[in-house]
Amino acid sequence: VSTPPTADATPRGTGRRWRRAVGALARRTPSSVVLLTPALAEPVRVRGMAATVWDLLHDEPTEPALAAAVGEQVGLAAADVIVMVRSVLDDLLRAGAVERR
Amino acid sequence: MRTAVTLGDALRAVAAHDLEDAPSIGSPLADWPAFVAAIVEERLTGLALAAVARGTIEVDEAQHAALVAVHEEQMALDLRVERLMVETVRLLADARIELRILKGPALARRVYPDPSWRSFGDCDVLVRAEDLGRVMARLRPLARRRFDAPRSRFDARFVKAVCLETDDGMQIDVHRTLAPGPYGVRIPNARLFTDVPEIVAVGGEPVPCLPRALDAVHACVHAALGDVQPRLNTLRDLAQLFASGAVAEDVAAFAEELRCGAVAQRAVQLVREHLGVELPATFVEWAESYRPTRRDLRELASYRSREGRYPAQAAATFWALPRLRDRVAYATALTLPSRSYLSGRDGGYGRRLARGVRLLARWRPR
Repeated sequence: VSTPPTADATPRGTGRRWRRAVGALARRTPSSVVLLTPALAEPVRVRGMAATVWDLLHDEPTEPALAAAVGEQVGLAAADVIVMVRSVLDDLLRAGAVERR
Repeated sequence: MRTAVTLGDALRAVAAHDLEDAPSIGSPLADWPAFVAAIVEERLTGLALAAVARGTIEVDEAQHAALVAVHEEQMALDLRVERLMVETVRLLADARIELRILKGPALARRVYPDPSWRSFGDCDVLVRAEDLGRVMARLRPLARRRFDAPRSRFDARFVKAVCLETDDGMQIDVHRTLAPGPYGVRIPNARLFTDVPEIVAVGGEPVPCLPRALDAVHACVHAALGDVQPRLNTLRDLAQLFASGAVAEDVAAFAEELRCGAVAQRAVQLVREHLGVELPATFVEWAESYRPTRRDLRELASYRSREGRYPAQAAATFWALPRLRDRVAYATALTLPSRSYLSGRDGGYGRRLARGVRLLARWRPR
């Protein structure tokens, strides 16, 4: 689950919350999250920022809140990471691992 | 200079990680490749990494990376098994077939602080004996049985579990009871369904499991009657069930009702010997005060027989069956099975019959 960031930095649906999909099965390891969803034939490993995003989804954040939390972890402003966060969310959404409320 | 720790000490420290009075080692491992191989074989990669993170076991950077790599492989397998379990539960629940998920997939998310601490390799599901035929039919799109039954009706009356295999080699064991051999006779199938199940949500699906005290008795049975060298994660399950709220008096009461006192006694010894920890004092006192009967000792011996465990268990099962007509049906099925069952197995009818007579005489109660 890793594609180059393609989304722009314009806020979208900022009030909606993101959460882990109910049907997603996952295990955290020291360096990755192993994921399996009904949309995936085989388990996939997500690392780096995608794994960080997965961890932070525990609190069902909005996209701006998620970007702020990720930025805090890597020492950057939310505006500097929002594009990458959005890209990760899109990838996880396509994999059936997350959903919007 | 510090002394390198042995494989046995390292495995004990991993399997007992985070339990009260768990042993700690903090020294380099004497044989790293053997340690990794054993951790993988015992499916203890999650506990090993947790023990490393706590400093219970000392590893260098390369060793840590190697442990993470094998752990990720195991986690991928765990998730594949969990998905198979969810599909199994859905198929059976849609047909209103009652079930209880057993062992690792039932315990990982329910009794362990982190599900990655309890890995597994297959899916075990307990069903009512009278539902076995419907279960096989219902699960056919998912998996097919690996071996034919020796005779019709054998499964519903005598089998411990029917093994099903998916096209990609995953395994579902459909259980009628919790133990092979004579102890399987002691545990009535219907009794395993009389208590309200505990539910764990997996992938959005409510998964019914045994009550915690009965899970603990099952762990005793599996530890004491399973592999000659007991699996460490089974012993850990027993300790973890107590650590997560199984009530010692309830476990003892179930064990007594199911006539598994000698098995519980053996399990207490195995946890002490292989994990280096003690189970709750109330349970230990009850188990150690149990006086095994001659029948207990004879039946337990059938699980450790030098003649081969399965033939000895089969003979001991014959004598454990309470009714003559059950004994006749059981002996007939095993000595004169269907031709499809016999193909690929050792010997013909004559040899099976002769072997059966010899084993029955050897395991006859005296």
